[in-house]
Amino acid sequence: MDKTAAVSLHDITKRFGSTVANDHVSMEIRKGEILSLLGENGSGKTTLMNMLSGIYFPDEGEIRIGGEPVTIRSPHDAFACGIGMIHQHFKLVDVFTAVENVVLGLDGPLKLDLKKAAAQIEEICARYGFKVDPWQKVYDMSVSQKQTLEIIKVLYRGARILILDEPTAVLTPQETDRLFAIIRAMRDDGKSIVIITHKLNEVLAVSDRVAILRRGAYLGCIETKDATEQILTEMMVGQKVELNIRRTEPRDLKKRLSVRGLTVVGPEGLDALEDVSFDAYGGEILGIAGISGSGQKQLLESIAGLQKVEPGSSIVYTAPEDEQERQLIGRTPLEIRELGVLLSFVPEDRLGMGLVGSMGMTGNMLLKTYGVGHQLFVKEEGAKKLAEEIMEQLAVVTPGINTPVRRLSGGNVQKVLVGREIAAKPAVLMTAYAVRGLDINTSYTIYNLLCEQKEKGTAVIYVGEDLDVLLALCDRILVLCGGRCNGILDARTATKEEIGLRMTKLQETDHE
Amino acid sequence: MSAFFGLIQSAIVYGTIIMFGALGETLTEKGGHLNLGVPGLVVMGGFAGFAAGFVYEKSTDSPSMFLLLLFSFLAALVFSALGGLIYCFLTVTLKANQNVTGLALTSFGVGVGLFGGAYLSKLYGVAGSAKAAVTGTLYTANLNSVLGWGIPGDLLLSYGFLTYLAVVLAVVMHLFLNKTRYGLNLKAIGENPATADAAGINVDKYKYLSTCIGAAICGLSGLCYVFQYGSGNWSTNNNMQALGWLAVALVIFSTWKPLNVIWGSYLFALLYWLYNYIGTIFEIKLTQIWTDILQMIPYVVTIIVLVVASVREKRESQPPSSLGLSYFREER
Amino acid sequence: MNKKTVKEPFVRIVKRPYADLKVTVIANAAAVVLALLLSLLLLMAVSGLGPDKVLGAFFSASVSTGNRLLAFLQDAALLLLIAIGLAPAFKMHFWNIGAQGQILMGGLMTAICMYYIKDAVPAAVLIPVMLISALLISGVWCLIPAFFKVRFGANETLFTLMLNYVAIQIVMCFTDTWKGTKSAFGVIDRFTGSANGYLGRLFGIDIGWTLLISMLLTVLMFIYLSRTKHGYEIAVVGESLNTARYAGINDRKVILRTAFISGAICGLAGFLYVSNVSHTISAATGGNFGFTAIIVAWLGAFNPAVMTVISLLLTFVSKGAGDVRNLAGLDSSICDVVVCIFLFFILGCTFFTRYQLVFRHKADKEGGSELKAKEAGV
Repeated sequence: MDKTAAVSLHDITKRFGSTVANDHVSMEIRKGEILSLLGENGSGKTTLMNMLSGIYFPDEGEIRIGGEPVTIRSPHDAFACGIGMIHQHFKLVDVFTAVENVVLGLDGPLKLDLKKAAAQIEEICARYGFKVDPWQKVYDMSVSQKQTLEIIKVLYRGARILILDEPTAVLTPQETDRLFAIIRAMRDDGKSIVIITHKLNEVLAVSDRVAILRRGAYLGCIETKDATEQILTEMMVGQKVELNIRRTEPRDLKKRLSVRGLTVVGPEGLDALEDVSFDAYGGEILGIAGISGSGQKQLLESIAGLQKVEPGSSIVYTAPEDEQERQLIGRTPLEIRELGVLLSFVPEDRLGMGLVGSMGMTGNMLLKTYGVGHQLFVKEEGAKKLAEEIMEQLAVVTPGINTPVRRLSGGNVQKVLVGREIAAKPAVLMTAYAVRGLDINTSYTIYNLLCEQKEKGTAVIYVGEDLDVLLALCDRILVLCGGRCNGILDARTATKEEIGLRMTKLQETDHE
Repeated sequence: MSAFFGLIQSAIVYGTIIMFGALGETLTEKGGHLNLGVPGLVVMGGFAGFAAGFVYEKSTDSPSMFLLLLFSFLAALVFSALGGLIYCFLTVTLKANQNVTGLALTSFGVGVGLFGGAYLSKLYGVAGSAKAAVTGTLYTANLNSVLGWGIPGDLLLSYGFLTYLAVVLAVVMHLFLNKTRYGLNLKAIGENPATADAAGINVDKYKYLSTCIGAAICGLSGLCYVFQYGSGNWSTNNNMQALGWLAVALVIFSTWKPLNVIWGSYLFALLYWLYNYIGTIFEIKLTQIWTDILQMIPYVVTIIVLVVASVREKRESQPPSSLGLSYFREER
Repeated sequence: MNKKTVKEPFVRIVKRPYADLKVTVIANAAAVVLALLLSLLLLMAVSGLGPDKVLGAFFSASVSTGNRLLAFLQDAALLLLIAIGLAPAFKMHFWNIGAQGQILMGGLMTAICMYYIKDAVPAAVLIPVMLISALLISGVWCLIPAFFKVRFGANETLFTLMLNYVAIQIVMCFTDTWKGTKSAFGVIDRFTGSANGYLGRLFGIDIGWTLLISMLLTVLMFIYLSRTKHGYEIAVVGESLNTARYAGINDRKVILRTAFISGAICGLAGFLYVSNVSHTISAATGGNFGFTAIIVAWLGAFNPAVMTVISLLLTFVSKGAGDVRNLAGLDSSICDVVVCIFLFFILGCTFFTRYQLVFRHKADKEGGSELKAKEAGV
């Protein structure tokens, strides 16, 4: 391996408002290597790379290519420097064909020669083993095809440095393996590749070196051959992962939710959920693990009455007050509420679904209760009191209960949302990625709140991505794999490896 | 039969006016900007072209034909492009709301045009409406009067050069959008500006160019109205404005395809003029109410096309995805 | 691959974390002052009058006599009423730009009742019939695009726009029939011989009802949007459809209902035009107000109080320009031009309240720390 630097960053700082996304980061990317950029969610990995690709401009610092300082003001400048980035959310025009997307924005003669470009694309495909039809429309493509197209696009532009942002988040294990083979082929071809990720197994599997970011700061770089999961985890989180969650033994279990044969067709016509069955009990926390996009969203939204489900699905709620069973399928969220179902839901998209960003805490407290009663006006008194209580109890930092919640920091937004949902005294509490993007302290506040709810006899459903947390917080863990229930494990005895395996590979034997 | 030919001729003359407006707006909308200022731009272009011709005619006894043509044509292009520039500065650079800015531009353009026309008449002491007669003859000059090919000539060659220019422009725009690099880039911006930006396209530059050039083309629509349709008479009625809105409707009707604009504009104009000829063609007597109803058809048809396109959900017939939204790269 | 060395951008745009009241006030005041200067210069240039005359006419046009004040209030009230009608739809992110058509349909319905019913029933019956039919037809006129939006996702901006022209043609169908051989359809009682259905004077003012209803509606809309359950639902639907569904709000119902209300209030304006203000109907009824009101509602951020200020300002400017043009014998379209100058400036200044500019070199020291300080000060 050539040890000269292809790109080097010097003292790069980027701020968004009061948050420092990158704090004086200095690092280098060498020629012909695969570098993993490792860090937790929100550690500034993507922001850092976006400054190389011209999406953001650094507030401070210098970027050098081959030793010479450059200024990258736009993606165009980035291409000129030989840098290409494959974003997590693909930057493709849906109504264009593959070849049109590839030539988009390139300089050249006025007349487009798509045939020639298509031939070149096929050449690239043959060289690295891609399979893409240049004349296919993007809206007809699968996620993995779109990703391949993004890589082709960057290679077609002659990029020598490729940055891939969480490339495996949306891929099946087979597709991931294929991607890694492609990445290795590109490295052997002399390209530098940066993979932004927070998955340790992938780091160890594919990269030559690992650079670690923690909360915006660069912690250093180590050779993968010297690294172990333990070392990487320690660097990533700063301390040994000893999650100190106060988990009590579940007692007085009562069935609250019984899901049978739940099937949901996703936006692309594929099954987002297929025949999922499980029970959730009051007095325990049921964790739900899976690669993102394995059907977690559809599962929770089906229970909340926000998803169209296929015939044959059944979701039965057992009320704590009279132990009567109620079918939730086919009802709207309002009908479910009017049925007396005590269901609370902390959705993944906090400001886009759980809260109204332009309203203050008071207004948001009213979201599910504004309609109570037959009077014409909204009654604000109760909501105001509730907002004040939550602000005090959860230590929400806000100038006032009428300040639009959009202005609050992520952690405070989540406290408002969770606070409201818990205040409704739910029998079933569902949370989706409840601690995503939150700092350690706020995360623990949330964990404790969930444990408290469990002790009060609530059935808590916790969709999470951090396996350590799932293992430490939950009582049972349901693993989703490609929209199917791939086993329900006891969180006290299960191992990370076991869950990781089930997340990526269907276990035919114990499938219900 | 002659009434039928008359209808076709009227439709082609009138359709040309709509065609320029619709082509200009198509270019603008492909870049993701819904410019509702088209009627204003049409009036501005018409006024500027007229003013240039009129003032030059008044200033000399023997105006040069070439200069008359050049002045009036350039004036229309430049003046309406300036209108487009106001819109662009507000919506692209200052990220103001497009609908609101467009409507203000319509109000502004119509006001400027009408005021300017009246001001000119007053300045030169013309009673009633002013006329740039010589310039008018330039825009109505046609090959048929030279060649005299009879009915085929009447139907195909009896129009001023703007009619043919409009068709050529539509074809050129079709080729530009579908066969060239810059057209592809522009369409990408209208669909997904973040993607275009990431692909290294200068989004703002394209938006400025497509909007200002589109506005200039809309200006030709007014030029055509004043000189080819009106033979150089400055008119103060609301027709030009109404035609501007028809042009906006036609863009939807054509599902954002310049080649559809060609036949669509003739069809719209045909519907508009039908009342004038339908009585003679079918030998029936029409009351005024039928005129009003027939003139409603283009709008109703456009609504139907709009609804059908959304019901069918065919990706290629939809408006550009980011139409009406402003773009800010660091939006998070 | 060439290595380009380019300079750091001279100025960068940064989104403000939130609107700053002080900045908003300063920016808007600056915009109004600049627009005023430019307008006065333009008026002086085209009228050939001296600054004293232009200024005098401009500022006294709306207030110098009782009649002028009434004319000023009448225009401001109608403009405001239409904007009030549009506000709930816009707040819900439903782009109703069909106000003009809704005004016309409401006005037409009013005229139809008066034209055909004449003296057959007493005013106490006729006026409610006129009012209700006007509200219904205009409400439905806005409900149609709303239906196609919620059902098929049809673009309501273009749909409502097209309906304006359909409405114009429908109005012409009636007026052309009614006028017969006369050149135009004029004041209704001259055609029917009956003034039944005209709203009489109120507080001794001809347009008393128009003023009263506009003020009342402004207050009601303020309460409706800020205090009622419907207002709450509109705010949630406008913010995010997903949040609305999550909250159990029937978003389709809210969109349809709000569209109906929006259209109906525009219809009320049409009713007032015909029954109280102009006593006739034509394709030109409502003039440009249907479009100007859109801008008023937008600039007023759907807040009835701010919208009132903007309606008064724009009407004041328009009347002022009108007086200057009378003095100099100019075409009336100069008023639109002057009003648009104000619109452009106020539209442009919203940028400075939403974004801020960070200049080169200053970026590290001031831009960042300033933002930081502001955020911390929250």
